[in-house]
Amino acid sequence: MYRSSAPKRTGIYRVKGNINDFQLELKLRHVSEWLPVPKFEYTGAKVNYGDHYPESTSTSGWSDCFIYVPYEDQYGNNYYTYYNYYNPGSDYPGSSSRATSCSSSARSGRSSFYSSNQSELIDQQQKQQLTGETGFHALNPELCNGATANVCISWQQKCFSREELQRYGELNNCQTSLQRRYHRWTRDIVELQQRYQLRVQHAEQKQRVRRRRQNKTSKTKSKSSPLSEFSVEAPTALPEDPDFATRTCLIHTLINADLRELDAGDPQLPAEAHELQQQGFQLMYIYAQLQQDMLLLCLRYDPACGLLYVYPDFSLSAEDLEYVLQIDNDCRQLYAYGFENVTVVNVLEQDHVESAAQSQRDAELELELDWDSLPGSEASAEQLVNYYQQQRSSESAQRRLLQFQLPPKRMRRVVLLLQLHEAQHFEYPNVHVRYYVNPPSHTILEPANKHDPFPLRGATATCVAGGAERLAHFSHCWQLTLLCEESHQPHQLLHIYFEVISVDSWQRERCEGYAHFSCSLLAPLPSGVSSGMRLQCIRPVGSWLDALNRYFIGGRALFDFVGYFKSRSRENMLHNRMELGRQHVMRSTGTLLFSVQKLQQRHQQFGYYLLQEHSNDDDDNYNDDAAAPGCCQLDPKPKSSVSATLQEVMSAYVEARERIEALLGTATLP
Amino acid sequence: MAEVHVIGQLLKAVDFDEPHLYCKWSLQSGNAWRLVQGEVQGQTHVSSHRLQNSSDFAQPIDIHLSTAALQGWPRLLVEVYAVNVLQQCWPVGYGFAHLPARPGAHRLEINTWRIAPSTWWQSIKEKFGGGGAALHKTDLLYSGVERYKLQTRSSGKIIVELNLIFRKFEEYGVEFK
Repeated sequence: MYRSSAPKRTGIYRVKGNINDFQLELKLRHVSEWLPVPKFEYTGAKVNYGDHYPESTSTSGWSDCFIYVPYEDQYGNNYYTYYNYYNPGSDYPGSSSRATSCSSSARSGRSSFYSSNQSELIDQQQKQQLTGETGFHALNPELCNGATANVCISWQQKCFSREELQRYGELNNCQTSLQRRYHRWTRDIVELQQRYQLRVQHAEQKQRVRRRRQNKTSKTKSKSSPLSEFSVEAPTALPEDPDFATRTCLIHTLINADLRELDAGDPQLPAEAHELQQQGFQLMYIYAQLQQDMLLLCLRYDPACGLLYVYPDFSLSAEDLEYVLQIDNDCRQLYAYGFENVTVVNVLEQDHVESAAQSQRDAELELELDWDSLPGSEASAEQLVNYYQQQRSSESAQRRLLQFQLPPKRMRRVVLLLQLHEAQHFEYPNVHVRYYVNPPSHTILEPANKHDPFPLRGATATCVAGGAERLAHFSHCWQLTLLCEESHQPHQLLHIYFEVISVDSWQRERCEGYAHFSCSLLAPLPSGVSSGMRLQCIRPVGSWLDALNRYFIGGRALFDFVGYFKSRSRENMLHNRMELGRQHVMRSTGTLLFSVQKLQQRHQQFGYYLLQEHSNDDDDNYNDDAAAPGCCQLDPKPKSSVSATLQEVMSAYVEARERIEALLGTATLP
Repeated sequence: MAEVHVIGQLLKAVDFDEPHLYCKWSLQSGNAWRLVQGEVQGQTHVSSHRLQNSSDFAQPIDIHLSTAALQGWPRLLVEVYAVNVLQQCWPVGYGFAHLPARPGAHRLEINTWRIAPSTWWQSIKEKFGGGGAALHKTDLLYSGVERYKLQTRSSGKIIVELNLIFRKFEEYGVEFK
C-alpha cells in the first residue's frame, strides 16, 4: 500500500571508535504500480466544452483536465488511459501513444483538433520519452520488475555512476592519482557486467533450445487452442542477481575525495558542500540514478567533535522503506527507500588481544584498551563508570589518532621554520633582503599558500636607516614544507641564497652582499642554528670603474651568486684579489642573523600504538587522504613483514610508479 | 591529534624610544590547528620604567592547542603601542617569531619594527604630536614578494619566556631535530 514519505529529519550521532568502520544498508524499490490516485493534467483554460456548451461543435474535444486511471481488462492485464474530466468518454489525445496498452475502443472516440504540426511535435516528444523509459527499463530490468535494490555502503566508499564508469573506464581520461585509482576500481564493475552478460546469453541459449523442442512436440500433437496462436513470446528469464544495484550503477556516491577535485561552482557539487568542506566536515552524498539523479541521503562527519550528521535520519529497519521519492515525468514514478546503520563492531579474538597486549604493553599505557565484555549485573557503579570511561578514552584516542596528516608511504615530510632576525654593518642603509630557496632534487614542495606564485622566494621589508651603523630589524619568518624520499641522500642539500639590497632616497638600488646557507634535509641541524647564526655576507670587489658606478649610478650588477656559491662548494678553489680574473674575488660586507628550526615526520601506520585490525584494501593506504575508506585500517604487522602476494606486489609497483611520476613532474612514464 | 601546551609570559619590552608602552599579542597558526583551552590573543597593561629603557609586562600566556598537521606551525605576533599623556596611542613595533619547535624552556627575543614616516610632516608629527603611522591593512604584516616596498624602521625588542610541552607528536612520527 502506498503511503507518504516519512518526515525527514537530521540525525546526529556521536561516533565511537573509527568512522571508517561505519556501514549502512540501503534498500530501494520501485513502487509506481501502487499508485492509486488518478493523475490530473491541466492543459490551460481553453475553448468550449462540448457537453456543457451546446453551441460548440461536436468535434471539439478540447478539454483542460484529464484523469489518469488504471484499469484491468477481462484477461486480467493492467492497462491505463486518460479520460477527459468533463467528458469521460473522450480520451486525452496526446496520451494514446504514450499509453502503450491503451484500448483501441478508447482511441476510436478520439477527435483530432490539434494541427498536424503540433501532433508531430507531440509524437516526437512521446517517442523520446518512450525511448527514455525503455532505456531506463533496459538498464534496470530488475528494478523495473519490482526487485529491491540492496546495497551496503561503507564510509567514504566510492560507488560509480554510469557516467563515471564510462569516464574512468578510459585510462586516457584519468590524470590524477585519484582518477587512476578509480580506473582500477572500475575494472571490477566492468568484469561484473561482463559476467552477467555471459549469464544472460547462456540463459537465452537455453531458452532457444527449449522453444525449439516445444515447437517440435507441438507439431506432433493435435491442434492447439486458438489462444496459443496469439500468445506473446515469453520474455527471457533473467538470471537472478541479488547485487544488481552494483552492476547497474543504480546507487552512486560522491565522496570527500571527489568533492576536493570539483570546483566550488561545479553543478555536480551540492550547494552547501564547499562551505561545509571549508568548515572541516567530511562529506558523503548517496544518489540513485533513476530517471534523473536523486539524492537519497547526505552524510557529514565533524572530525573535531566526532559527530555524524545524517539526513534523512536512519530508519529502524531498511526493510521499512519509509522514505519515498517522487519523479514526475510523463507519469509519476514513485520509489521507496530506507537505510539503516549496520556498522559491525569488530570483536577481536582474545588470543590476538593478548599477544598484541604483550608486545605493546609499554606503549599502551596511556591508550589502554579494554576489550572485556560488559561488567556483569553484580558490578558496582564504580566499575561500570570505569568501564565506560576507559572505553570512551580509548575510542576518542583512536579517533584523534586517525586524523593527523601523514606523509605518503616511504616519504618524509620536512618542515623548516626559517627566520631572518636582523642585518648590520653594510655600506649603505635602507636595506632589505631577498632570499631564494633551492630545494634538492626529487623533493616535493607543499606550499603553505597555494595561491603564492613564487613559494620559493621572498623578500623582507625595507628597513629605513638600518643596515649600516644601525641595526636593521626584519623579524621575518616563513615556513617551508618539503616531502622527500626516505632514502634521500644526505649529501643532497637544501640551499638558501640571500641577497642584501639597499635603496637610497633617489631609488638607486645597490647590492650590499650575498650570503648562502645550506643544510641536509634529513640529518640533524648543526647546534646553534636554531637559536640564530650570523651569516657573513660578501660581494664582488670589482674594478675601480665598478666602484665609481656603484657610488654615482648605483644599480645591481649581474652577478651569478648562485653559480658562485655552487662552484665554491664544488671546486673549493682559492681566489685572491691580485688575480687577473676578478669576478670571483669577493669582499666581506655586513652580517645577517638567521635561524632555522626543523621538524621531520616519517610515515607511520595509523594507530601505531593501538591494537590493530585487519585491512582488506591495500590500495587506499597509499594516499594521506583520510577520505579513503581503508586508509585508517590498522595492520598488526609492519607492511614489510607481511607475506607479499602478487596483488600486493602489483599495487606496490603502481604506487611506486605514481610516486616517481609525481617526483619527476611528468605526466606518464613509458 | 597532537597537542601543544604553551605556558609562559610576555616578559618585557626593551630598547624602545617611547617610555609608556603596552603590547598586544596573538598566536597565529594554520587551519589544522585548534585551540583547546586558553586565549590565543591578549593585551598587556601600560608599563614604563623610571631608570631603565624597558617596560615590564609579565603577561601570563597559557594556551593549549591541538593540531592535525605540521603545516601552519604557530607564530607569535606582537604589536607594541606607545601611549602619551593625552591617552593617545600609536603602534611603535610589530614583530613575529615562530614558536620553538622543541619542547622545553625557551627565551625569545622578538625584534620589532614600525612603519617609517613617508613624509617630513609625518616624522614631525610622530616626534612631537604623538602618533606614528600604522598599517591600514594588517595582512601587510605577513608575506609577499613585494614586501620590500614596505618601509620600516627598527624598533625595540620584546622578550618572551615560554615553556613548551608537546604531546603525541611521536605517535605520528614527528621528530624534532
